Amino acid sequence: MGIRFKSIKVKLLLALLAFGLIPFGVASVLSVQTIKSGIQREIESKLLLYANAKVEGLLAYFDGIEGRTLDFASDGFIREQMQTILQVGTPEAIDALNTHLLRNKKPIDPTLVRILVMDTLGNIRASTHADDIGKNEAQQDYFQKGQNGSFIRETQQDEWRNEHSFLISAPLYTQETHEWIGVLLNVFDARKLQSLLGGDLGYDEKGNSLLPQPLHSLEVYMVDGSANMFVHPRHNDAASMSQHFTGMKVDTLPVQQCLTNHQPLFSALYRNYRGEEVIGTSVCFPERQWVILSEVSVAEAFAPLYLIYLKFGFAFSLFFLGILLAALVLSRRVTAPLQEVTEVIGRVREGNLDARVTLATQDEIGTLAQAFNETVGKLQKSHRHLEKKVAQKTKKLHEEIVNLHHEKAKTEAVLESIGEGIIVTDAQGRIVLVNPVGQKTLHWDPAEVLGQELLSALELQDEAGNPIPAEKRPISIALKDLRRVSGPYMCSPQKEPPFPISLTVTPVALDHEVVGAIMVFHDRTKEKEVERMKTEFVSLVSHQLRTPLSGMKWFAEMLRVGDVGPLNDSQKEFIDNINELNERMISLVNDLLNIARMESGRIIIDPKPTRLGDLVTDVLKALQPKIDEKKLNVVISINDHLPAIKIDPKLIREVYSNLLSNAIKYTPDKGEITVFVSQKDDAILSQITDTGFGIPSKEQPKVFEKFFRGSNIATIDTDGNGLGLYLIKAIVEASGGQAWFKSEEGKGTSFFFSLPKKGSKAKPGEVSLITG
Amino acid sequence: MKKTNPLILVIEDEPMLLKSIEAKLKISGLDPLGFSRAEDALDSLQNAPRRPDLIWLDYYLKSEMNGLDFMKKIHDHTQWSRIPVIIVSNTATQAKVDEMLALGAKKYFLKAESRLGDIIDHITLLLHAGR
Repeated sequence: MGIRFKSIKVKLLLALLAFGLIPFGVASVLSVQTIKSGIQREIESKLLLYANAKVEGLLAYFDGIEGRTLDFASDGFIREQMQTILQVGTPEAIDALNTHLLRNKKPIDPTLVRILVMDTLGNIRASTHADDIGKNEAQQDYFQKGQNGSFIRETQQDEWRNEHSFLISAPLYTQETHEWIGVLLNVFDARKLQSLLGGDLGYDEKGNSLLPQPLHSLEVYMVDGSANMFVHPRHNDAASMSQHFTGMKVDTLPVQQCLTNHQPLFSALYRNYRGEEVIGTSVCFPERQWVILSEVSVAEAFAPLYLIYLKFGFAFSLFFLGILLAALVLSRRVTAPLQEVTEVIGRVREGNLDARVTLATQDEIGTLAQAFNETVGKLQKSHRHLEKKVAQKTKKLHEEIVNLHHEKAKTEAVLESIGEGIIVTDAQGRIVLVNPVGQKTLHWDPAEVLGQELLSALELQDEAGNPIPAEKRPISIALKDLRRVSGPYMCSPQKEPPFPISLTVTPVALDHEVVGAIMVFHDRTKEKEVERMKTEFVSLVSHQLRTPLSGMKWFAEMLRVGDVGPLNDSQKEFIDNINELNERMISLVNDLLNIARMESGRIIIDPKPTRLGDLVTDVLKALQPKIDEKKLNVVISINDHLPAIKIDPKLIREVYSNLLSNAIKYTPDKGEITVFVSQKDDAILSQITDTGFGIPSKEQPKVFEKFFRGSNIATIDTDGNGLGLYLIKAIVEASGGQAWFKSEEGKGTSFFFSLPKKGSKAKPGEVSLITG
Repeated sequence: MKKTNPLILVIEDEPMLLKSIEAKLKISGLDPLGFSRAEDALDSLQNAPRRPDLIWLDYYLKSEMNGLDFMKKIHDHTQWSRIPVIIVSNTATQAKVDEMLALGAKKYFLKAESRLGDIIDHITLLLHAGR
């Protein structure tokens, strides 16, 4: 999250500045340009005026001095004297000319400073100044140029004592022959010219102001046809004098325009002879090849601009400030309400749902504020609604919790008072709870035992005393396979001597996931004792019963065989009946005794390699009379290659005997009995199937229980005692096998039992089964 | 001279059974001499003029001496040990039976399962074998 915060103020400011100042700037620049060109034009026109004003005077002046010079050049005396000097060159002639020049000519014009005459070779022959005589001026331009016509120029800085003057030269001819005899030179001082040109700069001769304000940098000067300055500009300060100017080349734009293009008037902004930027005008005299230039430095001309710049700058700053202010104010107008909204939002966020935005402007922000207020109002309403609901639910929850507490207390009370021991473990088999009875039974201190794994806290053995491996422990099976495990075991809780317990471990699952297990157990010692006593009792009673049974048997036998006298048929019959009943009782007692012996584990199991087929044949032989009597069909299907297995033949014989005699008993005449003995996986499977009365399906669960008699055969055969199946199941299981059956009432029954190929475990025991 | 019947010494603590046994023996031409206590039987052996031809012994006796002890006594006695002994009992365990047989008993009969007639037949056999 990081929106770079650019406030509206800033944005507005930047926008306003951009949109305000740019046009302003553009406008300013344009106006400055306009003003500049305006100034320029004004100055140019003023300068023109000025120049023009001067032109006539200047022209007149030059015409004057030119005329004067020409006049002198045509002076007869000068010419005659010059001829004479050239012919004889006497000092008197020279002197006479000199005097003439000095006395007669020079005073004619007060501005005339010097007059001299040169011969055709350039030697000065006569002059107003005696020093000049004899000098050669052949190299001078006034000599050379003066041979053909009049030549005017300004004096150079070192000529003739630094006076600012003009010289004009003109050729001399003889009067009659018009032969060129020399050059006359007049030097006029330029005071007059200067005063003409400048005077009081800005004022004409009459004293009228020519320019709106005095222009200090104004330079007015003349340039001749060779672009040489021959009238230099006059400056107010005396320091800058003619020495800088004479002979200066002024090949500037206006000069070019005049001399090359013959443009009579020209004004522009250009660089002058000094290289400075000036606004200047020029008046051109193409015939004389003179240019009058009036120039004003740009700096001075545009000086007023600086003021304008200042004004603009000021205006700009004001504008800028104005914009700033406007931006501030405008943004304020926008941001203030927004800030208020933001602030109120903040308050709402913190939980104050009463907060509302108070502004009521008509614009979009007002709409926003209104919408916001409505939203908060709605939020508040639903919040209140929720709060109410929450309060209701909370109240309910409280009630539930109170109930739960009560239930919990009740449960705890129940747990405490249950007569069975209870251990609760978590999903990893660690002890979480042991109830008081459990603690007492196992002699456990809960503080020590809680958190321990049940597997280590309690040692468990099977009934024979063999330790049970961890994965076969009921707790492990319950937690892993999610099924209940129940049974008798021996247990030794932490170094205590082992005692018999009966336990049931049930896994606890929540949403199909194991969360723990509950073990309910009790000390079986008493039970075992009771069982033992029961068995002993049965044993004892059975033995006791045997005595009278034996007695009855013998007395009845003696009666029957006639040891004490002959019997009639009825008597014989009755004795037989007595015998039969007696035998039944003996049989019952035998069965009871067998069961008692099996239950007490006293039966010897003596495994020997036995061929089961032999056992079957043996049993069937003994039962043959009954089979014949009922005309039953017995089918034997015994695999020849069955291996002999190590089982106790006496016991297994009893199993076959029981099952086969049952089959015979409960199959009607002409029925069929089939015996299968085969190999299956790692066991020998025996099957005895009959086509007898079957066992009703409702009673099938009880088949292996003691004294079970099928309701459908109890009326037919009152003989049986219902102990046989219980016994064979016990025998088969003690031999390491399993017994089961399938039956359909009215159709027949099949009994199965399997015996492990690896054989039965031997058991020392004390007694054998009573067979008979 | 009156032909003497073979003397059968019977030790059986149950009176009714003793009665039936004696009756059968008599009917079968044998002379029974019955005792319900093994000690008395021993006395008789010592003091009686006739030595029995066979001993019918029950195992579980109400007297202090049980059948096994009696057997031992018989066995140790040079003369008495020659007398054939049959054990007719309801209670002996296999181990005990083996012991008795080891001490010289000829046969074990389970009372409740054995007909008197069969026992008599066997006695007859043993007596003849003895002669």
